[in-house]
Amino acid sequence: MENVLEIKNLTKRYGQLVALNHFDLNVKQGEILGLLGPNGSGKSTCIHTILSLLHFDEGSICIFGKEMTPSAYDLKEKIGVVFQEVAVFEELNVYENIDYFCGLYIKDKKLRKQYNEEAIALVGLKDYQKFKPKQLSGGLLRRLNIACGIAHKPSLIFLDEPTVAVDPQSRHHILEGIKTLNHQGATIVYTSHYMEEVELICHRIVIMDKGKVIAQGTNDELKNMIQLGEKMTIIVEKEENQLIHELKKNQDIIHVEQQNNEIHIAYRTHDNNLEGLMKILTKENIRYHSLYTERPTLNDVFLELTGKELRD
Amino acid sequence: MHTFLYQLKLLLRDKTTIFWTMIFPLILATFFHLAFSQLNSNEAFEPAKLAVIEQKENQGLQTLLQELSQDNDDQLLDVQYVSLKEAQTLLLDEKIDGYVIVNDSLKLVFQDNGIAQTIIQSVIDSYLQTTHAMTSISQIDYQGFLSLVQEKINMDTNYFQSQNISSLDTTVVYFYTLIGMNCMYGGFFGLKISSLTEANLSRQGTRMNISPTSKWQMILTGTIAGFLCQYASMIILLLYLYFGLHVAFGNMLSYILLLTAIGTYVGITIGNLIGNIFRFHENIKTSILTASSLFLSFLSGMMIVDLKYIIQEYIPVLGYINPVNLITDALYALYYYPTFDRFYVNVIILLVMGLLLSVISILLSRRKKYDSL
Repeated sequence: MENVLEIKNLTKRYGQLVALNHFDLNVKQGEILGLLGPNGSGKSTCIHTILSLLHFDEGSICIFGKEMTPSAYDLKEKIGVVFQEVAVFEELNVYENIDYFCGLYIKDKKLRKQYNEEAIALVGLKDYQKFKPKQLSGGLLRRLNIACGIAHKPSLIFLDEPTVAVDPQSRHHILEGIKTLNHQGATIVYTSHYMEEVELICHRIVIMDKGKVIAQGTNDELKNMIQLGEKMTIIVEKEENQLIHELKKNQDIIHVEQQNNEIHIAYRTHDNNLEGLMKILTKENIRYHSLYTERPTLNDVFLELTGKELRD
Repeated sequence: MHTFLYQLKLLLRDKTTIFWTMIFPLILATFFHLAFSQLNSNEAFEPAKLAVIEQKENQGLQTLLQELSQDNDDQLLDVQYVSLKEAQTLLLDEKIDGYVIVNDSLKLVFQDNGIAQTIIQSVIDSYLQTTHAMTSISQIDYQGFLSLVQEKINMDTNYFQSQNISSLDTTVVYFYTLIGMNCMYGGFFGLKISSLTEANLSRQGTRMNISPTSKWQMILTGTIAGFLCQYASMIILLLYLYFGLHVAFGNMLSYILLLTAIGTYVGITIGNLIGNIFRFHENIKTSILTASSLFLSFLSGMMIVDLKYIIQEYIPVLGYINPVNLITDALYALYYYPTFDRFYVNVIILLVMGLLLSVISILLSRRKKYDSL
């Protein structure tokens, strides 16, 4: 598939601080690429630099095969951006805000009206068209922010943490809207520090930390990169030292940890672990309240690659 | 047209800006009126009291002073011929505004600064310039000398005649500074425009900068929208002053409209510049603009009218770089003087100032990428 965005060796410094450190990124046409990293990892700086808003020290940025510059208006026409902070006008109502921003891209009034209405329908603000931003809840405001960024039907959309501080209903609406935009043909770069969202909607994920790409691939590819295959937790009635002793003999177990009545087990593989565990529990006649298993999360991937939690 | 209409809508719906530009000047004008109406009824215009010490006879000057001292509605001077000692005593006792010693040259002595002293100074300066010109031309061009004499004879018939005003009112200066200040309040719109077009000043500005609409277009349409809003508020103020409070403008409407248009433009460019230079929060910039406008108005005589004359005499350059003073002075010149020389000087300085500020703002706005957002 063709690359719509190519970033090579991008370096951006704020004085002594290196915000982007020889950063490389390719985004393929039609995909939803998740840019995952903790706060301060350089995600927003990356987006602002791609959009030619910020100076950078080294590297190159090409969008649709052309170099991105502040006056590349032909490229800007095809790009939509939803910023992390809400960027709407308090003086204008919902419809006027969308119309104003859409009008910076679409000159034809009739077409613009159609696009405005489609954007309003997409984010579910039809009943709020005459509302001023201060009359909207946080979630509805975020939806308006999204509508303002995508109403002109861009081919490449950057969504910079669009669900920060959003209620579950609006979060669901936003994520569904993003999927719809992608189905309509838009390529999407989605930055977030919410791994669940990224896992849910992104085709490919780039994990970044301290301005660097530390891993990239599909959800499964990333999870296969690490030692951890499966996690199990057993809630027992009392401390079971014999069980711990038996489990530690298993070569497939990375580590076992007991916290009060909870025993956490980390397996190297994700095949047939439950069967082995059940045998030991039966053999040692150990009574337990519950037992559950988990696949590794992106947080586990991040933890293993960087030694810290994604939300640190 | 799309960006222009929305920028106009944004500016008109900005309640804070509308208060400062449209409502506040009207409130201030009303307070001025209440404060000065009593003063005006008691204080009609007094001719400037001038003592003349004639150490050498000067027929030309005598004729001119006699003409300007005639007892009628347009009387500018109240002249008395005294000895130097008497003049010094009169000045110390504040019974005269100043005295002139006439010998081979003319020497003016004042104790204070004010309108009376400005009038006396202007009369003597004008006399000296005219006699100097006549002497110079007569030495080289006899025909030119005759035509100049003829011109001066004609001019003397209405020398310093006020512009259809029955009596001169000193308190108009306060209202003139108010007009000047309101022009500076155009800066609120300039400030808003810069905030909406620069990516590092507002999130909305960031959005504008990623759109395919050029920054130039945004600034141009924004400035026109800001100008229209501020000029509309200026016209409302002028109408209120003229019809509501009966402030005298000397039937010079077209000149006043020209002056306030240029003043408004300068105000907007100042706001633009403050918006571009400082990286503070918008509220802090608004405070800077408000404080600057009030300070410039203070220097122009809004609170103490004599300050204008003190600056004019001792630090004239401060008067020339203060846009509020230029506007006040231009209105004052329209009101007091029969010629437009002083008015045009002020207007030209204002225009140059506006263009200069525009160039600086444009140069600052030229940076299209930012170091940080």
